[in-house]
Amino acid sequence: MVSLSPKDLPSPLPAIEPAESGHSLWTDAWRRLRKNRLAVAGGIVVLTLFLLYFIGPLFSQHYEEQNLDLGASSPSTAHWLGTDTLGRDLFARLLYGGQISLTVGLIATVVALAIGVTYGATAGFSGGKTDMVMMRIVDIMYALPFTIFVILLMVFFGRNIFLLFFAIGAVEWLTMARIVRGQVLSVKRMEFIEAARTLGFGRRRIIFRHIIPNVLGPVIVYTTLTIPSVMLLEAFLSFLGLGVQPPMSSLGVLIKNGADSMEEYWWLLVFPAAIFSLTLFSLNFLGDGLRDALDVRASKD
Amino acid sequence: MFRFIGRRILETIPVMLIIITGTFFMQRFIPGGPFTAEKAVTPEVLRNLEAYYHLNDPLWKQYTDYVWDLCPKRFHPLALANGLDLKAAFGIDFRPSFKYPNRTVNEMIAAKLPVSLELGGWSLLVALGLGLPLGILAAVKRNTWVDYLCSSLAMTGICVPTFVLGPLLVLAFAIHTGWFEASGWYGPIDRVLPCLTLGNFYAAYIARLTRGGMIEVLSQDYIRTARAKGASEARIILHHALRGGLLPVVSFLGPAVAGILTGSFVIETIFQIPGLGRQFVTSAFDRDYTMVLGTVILYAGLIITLNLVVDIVQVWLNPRLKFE
Repeated sequence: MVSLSPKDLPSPLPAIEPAESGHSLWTDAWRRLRKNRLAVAGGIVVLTLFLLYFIGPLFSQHYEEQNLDLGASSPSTAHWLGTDTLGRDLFARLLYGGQISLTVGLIATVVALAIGVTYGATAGFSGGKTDMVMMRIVDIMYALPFTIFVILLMVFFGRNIFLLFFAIGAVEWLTMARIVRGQVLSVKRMEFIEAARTLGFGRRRIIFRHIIPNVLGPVIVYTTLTIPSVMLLEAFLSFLGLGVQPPMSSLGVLIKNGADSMEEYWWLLVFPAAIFSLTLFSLNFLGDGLRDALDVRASKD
Repeated sequence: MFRFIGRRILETIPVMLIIITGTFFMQRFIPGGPFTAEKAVTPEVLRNLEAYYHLNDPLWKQYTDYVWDLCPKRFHPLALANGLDLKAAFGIDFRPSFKYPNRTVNEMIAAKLPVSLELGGWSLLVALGLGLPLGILAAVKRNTWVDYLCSSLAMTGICVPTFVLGPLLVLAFAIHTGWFEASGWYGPIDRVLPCLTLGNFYAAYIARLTRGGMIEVLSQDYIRTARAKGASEARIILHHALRGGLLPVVSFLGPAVAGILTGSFVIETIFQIPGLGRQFVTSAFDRDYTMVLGTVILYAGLIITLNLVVDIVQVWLNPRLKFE
């Protein structure tokens, strides 16, 4: 894109520019985010789902409670979304499965975040040879087919849920490292950092007050977009039977069970599929909205 | 250009070595040998089995032998036509299967891989055939209802993953209407649902990337110049804008192909397709280590080779990249 600096443009206005009024990046971003209806809707749905997943199971029937006499029954007033072949309430199971899926999504994202930010920031701050070697390693790791690698881990080391967090986190940190490193590199060279240095601020103050707030935006955006992709990977593995194991359950497991018995009991497939897609939808819309709101370059266009 | 290609080819060697080394030691150090799950065998049989699979050699020798067996030693690609025999063509030997001692992994791959490649190839065509036109249309009709429709279709494609879409399509079009078979891989009609399911997700991504790339290119000065010179809209889009606008799509093709290959694991499970993906999942549950390792290394090799091709195409399309 061609960017014109103000002095290249014929200016119809007096040369004195109005001083920027004191909007911080965050108030600006918040204002822009509120204007984006899809993102707001996404945020509200995400919050509702979070609350449902984590508080709902306290009030609903226990997810493992069986009623073998009832068997699989279609949606009714007693069981809003019907029951599965063991007579377990699908709504309760959905809440519980959603909780597990979301937990995997959040924890694996935190793992990816921790590794990625540390690695990327170290590379960005060090610069020079260290940076080159570190990013070369990331490049090489990018070439590895990681989904297969995660499957392999799950095959060889048993289907342990903690391993799942680690394995997915280990896959997803690469992009985060790249983003943080690029951001640190570009912020480091900016004039306000130089100004801060000239004013005699210490290294610590520069890092925490000036660099980190400016790196945070892309990190937040990428984090919201990582959660759905982690949930997708978890559901993919669970669908193959390599992820979350019974008696635990996740949305992927429920979709798998539903797909196995969809010829007789359509509701066992349709509701888990719908709720999973809804979760992904709202997280993606929220992430896209945040990206538009926090992307400083786009906002000045 | 040749230096670039040469350097990229050299770079793939350490990557392949890391993969082979990692997978080899992973399977050597897991608790429980491959034969512990079988019903009790006499010590003599066990000894014979271990000798057959070279498990008695020192570890370093097992490792070097394994790497050597996987090393391409000759180059007769024409031999591939004769039943996809990797050993005859390149001298790559994946050894006998742990689960079926009288079959080699090479034979199993030769039997199953063509099915997976066919599935993947059609899916990639679906992805490009749906994604590119949708993305171009959305970019050209930017901020109109056409754009919003295309973009929300793409978003739907991303949020409805293959393992959700596949069963739903089967439910709707096979079980309820009976237009298609719910599973199987016989006639051309059996290709429709699996390839649509697998291609759809990547079509959505490609549409988004195409839209972004095209919008960026269409706002450039040289497009305005072309317009000023009176070039037709079709010529501007197809001749001037597409080459630059497709760059993000080309760089996505590497990950897309990798995703389609691994995505076939799920598709082949849903639609009961006798391909390598379903075999892989079965082998994983059977703890058929040589088969699992063989598939992983083969897929890794395929993905890395395709990434290499994508990189070269990218440089060819965008010579500026060569200097980075």
